[in-house]
Amino acid sequence: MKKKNPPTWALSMLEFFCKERYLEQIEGDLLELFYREESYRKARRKFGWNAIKFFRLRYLKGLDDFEQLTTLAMIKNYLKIAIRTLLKQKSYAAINIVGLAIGLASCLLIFMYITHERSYDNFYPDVDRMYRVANGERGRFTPALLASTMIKDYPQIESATKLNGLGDGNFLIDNINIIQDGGCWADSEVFKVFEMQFIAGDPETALAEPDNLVLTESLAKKFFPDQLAVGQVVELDGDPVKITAVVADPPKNTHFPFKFLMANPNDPNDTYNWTGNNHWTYAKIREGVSPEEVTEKLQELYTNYVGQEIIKFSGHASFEEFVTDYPDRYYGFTLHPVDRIHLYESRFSMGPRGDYKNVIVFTSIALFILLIACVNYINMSTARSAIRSKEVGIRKALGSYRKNIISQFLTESLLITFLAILFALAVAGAALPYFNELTGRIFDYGDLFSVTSLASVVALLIVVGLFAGAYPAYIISGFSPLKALRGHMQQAGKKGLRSGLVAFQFAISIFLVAATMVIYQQVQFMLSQNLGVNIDQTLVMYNGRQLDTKYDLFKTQLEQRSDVLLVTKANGVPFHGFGDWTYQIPAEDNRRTAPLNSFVSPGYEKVLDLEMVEGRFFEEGRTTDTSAVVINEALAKELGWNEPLGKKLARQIEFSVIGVMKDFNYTSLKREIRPMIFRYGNANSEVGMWHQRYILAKVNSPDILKTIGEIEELWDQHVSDYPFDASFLNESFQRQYEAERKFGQVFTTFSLLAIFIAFLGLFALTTFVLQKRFKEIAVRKVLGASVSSLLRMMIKDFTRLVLIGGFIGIAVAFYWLENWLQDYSYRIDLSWYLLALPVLLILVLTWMVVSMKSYKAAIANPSNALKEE
Amino acid sequence: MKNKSYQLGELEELVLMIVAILQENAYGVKVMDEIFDQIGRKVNISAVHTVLDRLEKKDFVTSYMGGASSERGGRRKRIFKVTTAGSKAIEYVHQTRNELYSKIPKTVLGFQ
Repeated sequence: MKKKNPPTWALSMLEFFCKERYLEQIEGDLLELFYREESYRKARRKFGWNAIKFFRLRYLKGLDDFEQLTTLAMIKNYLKIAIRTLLKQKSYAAINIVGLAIGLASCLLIFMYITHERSYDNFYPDVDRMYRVANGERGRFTPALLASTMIKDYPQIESATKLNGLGDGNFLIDNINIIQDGGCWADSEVFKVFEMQFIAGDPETALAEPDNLVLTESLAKKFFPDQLAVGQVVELDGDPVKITAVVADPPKNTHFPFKFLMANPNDPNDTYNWTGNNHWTYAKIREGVSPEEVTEKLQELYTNYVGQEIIKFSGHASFEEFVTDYPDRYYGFTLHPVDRIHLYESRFSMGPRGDYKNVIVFTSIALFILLIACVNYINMSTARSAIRSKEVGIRKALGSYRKNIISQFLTESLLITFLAILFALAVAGAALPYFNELTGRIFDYGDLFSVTSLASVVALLIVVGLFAGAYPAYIISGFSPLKALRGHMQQAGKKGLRSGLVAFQFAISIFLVAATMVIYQQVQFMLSQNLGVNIDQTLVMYNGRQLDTKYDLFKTQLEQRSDVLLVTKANGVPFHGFGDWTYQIPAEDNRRTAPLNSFVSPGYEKVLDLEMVEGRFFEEGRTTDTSAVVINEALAKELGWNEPLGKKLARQIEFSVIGVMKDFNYTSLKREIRPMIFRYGNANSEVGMWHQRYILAKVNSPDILKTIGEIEELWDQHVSDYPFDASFLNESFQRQYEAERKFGQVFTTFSLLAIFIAFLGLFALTTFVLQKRFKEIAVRKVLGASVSSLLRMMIKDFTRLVLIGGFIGIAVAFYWLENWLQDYSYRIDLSWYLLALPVLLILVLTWMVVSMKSYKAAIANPSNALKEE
Repeated sequence: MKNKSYQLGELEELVLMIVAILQENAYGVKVMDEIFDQIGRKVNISAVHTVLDRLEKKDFVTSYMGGASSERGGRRKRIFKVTTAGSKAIEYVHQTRNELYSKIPKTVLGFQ
């Protein structure tokens, strides 16, 4: 008979999972069954099967069955003791857990925010080859021909597209007007640069015809809830367009959050020239091609095309000569990685704009808060260590090694951190809507829980738990058992360190308060500046173009109203953005300048209360005004004109300067006032009916809502297919500072949290110090100390710490805030009181907390404290 | 139920009786074989182990490690034997069954 062997896998599997106690009998029985089975194969099969059937809970190895039996038992014991300690000192544990939880919740939220901010556009598989092409070094707008020429002339370019947007479209669907934002005008190359998932339709033909429209999935559902969108014909801005494709919605974290794409085909007639910059260009370079190489090629392209156009105007023999004459500019196009747009070059963004500075600031604040909470833990556990010195003594006397005691204290800090994390998750979840409002992003619970994946939570637990617990554990475990058991109370750690940490907390708090105050002051300062333009009671009506020739009638009807004082039109209004146009100065060697350009009508200066320094503004009925311009002081200064009146600027035709306007603010006070030029707007001007893009009205009404309602009715009589849209200029003005306001809010919120946690710690520390000095206070009182002198004694120590912390905090705040304010052209100066006030505030708060606790001890009857011995 | 601790599952009751029948010779495979021999029922070896283990926890049987044999690849047997509590449990079960049986009207049982 040949030797029969049971399957080894089954045996080793049994050995692996089965408890030692049962293993032998089970193996024995299985083998017995195995050997008596006649068919070898059947025996083996049965053996395996039976072995698997023993995979039952009662036979599985438990925790107790693994090798390091004692370690496991010890961990169980550590945990048990840790829980008992927590329960014994409930208020102390609560302060630690609440503090850490708030710190951790801030960290989780901010970590989520940072992850989101850094993830922009990373979802494009080829994002490392995708670039935004800028005009010169920064310019957002590029010539229309750039994209197609890049593809045609340079094999290094895989694809390139030109875009316009994002803008609103006026859709007419089933006789219902819908103004839809998120519209992008693009050619079909857009699908080659930006990879999109097609739900219906074909990327090759989706935008091939000039009347083609592509919708995102959500927009398709909105427009056609229960029909197929593809193939439908709708009206967009008055023209019939055909929906050719539906693509998946772009993710939240993109700088290009389009909702529909409208065909913007390459014009075969080449009506675009190389000096008109009206499009945004994106390109994808081929694999293995370096962006530097492409940038070089783009410089070559600039010389070949744009350069040739320029010398037609300038009269230079070659572009090289032109460059030698005007060397202070970069002549070329530059590449800017798409995944850097959101945080580093947000001027290119079509969606929410990020700022890497905010990311740094927020990260620092989150770490500060967490640090304060950890310091609380370190302080409290070393301060309270005296209470546990006997425990440590006995442990050591019974043979505990130092590392066991360290483990005990680390287990306690890990347990506290663990509870704090659970609490933090709840807090972060509850605070999410508020956080969204603060940051201007849309996070949901999915985002929160995707960053708080198990791994990161465990990492956080270990880092924070060990960071907070390491020092106290190290110190407390060093206690001498002899002294501890002889009844000497041992106080762990040097008092100096604890004081240092408290001073450090004060420093952070004072820094945050100072920063909050300065940011608030700066925003207030900007809001209260004399703008040089009157933004009160000025109604801006949008889409004035829709009125077409009915504008004059509309204006007359409005001005007949007693509550409307004046009406005018323009294509540029303060706080709504201006575009820059290039002009030449024929008298000065065709020197070029690019002021902000706006087409306006007479009355513009009166509605906005703009002041003329010299000359006059446009006037009604002067036909020569179409070839006249008004400039601002900044332009006169840039051109070095002392007597600007009558000077000439050219753009196709010549314009003479008829007036100089006092500089006024038209955008955030973050920026200097740039040179501006005003031209007379009418239907024949370069921008056509866009010259009446905005209609401005000075309104003086006791019932503003009623007035607007009636103006809207009037609008509807003239324009039936485009809804009325208007806002007040001072609202737009305030929106300029939205970013600063949000920034300030974030700062305020997290500063308050930080200070709250710091004072929670201070409160606990004071309580403890008082407990320790209970008898001392009683003795002093018996010997004649007054309540106020006792309070002074208690306050003195903390005052010193606040002052030390204040010194550091203010020094850092001064440095950082100076830096921050440098971004603003109009800024406050850091005055002494802005920096002294935070110290005073923290000092007063500290006194309040300390004396509140101390007062009780000071007025107590000393006999209570002394009778115990 | 007069005495809760005598509560036994059907298979438990069966295995307990078999252990009693086998006296000093009851171990896993033997119990399994005996069940088959006595009432012709096939029980999986893992189920037998589980039941024996459970009975031991309830203190109806006790066990010790027996001798090794070559047919078991040198592994020892765990021999089970019935404890006093086990005997009482068998007794109790037997008695209650008989009592209940005697209370069933004859007409119900008569014509099977």
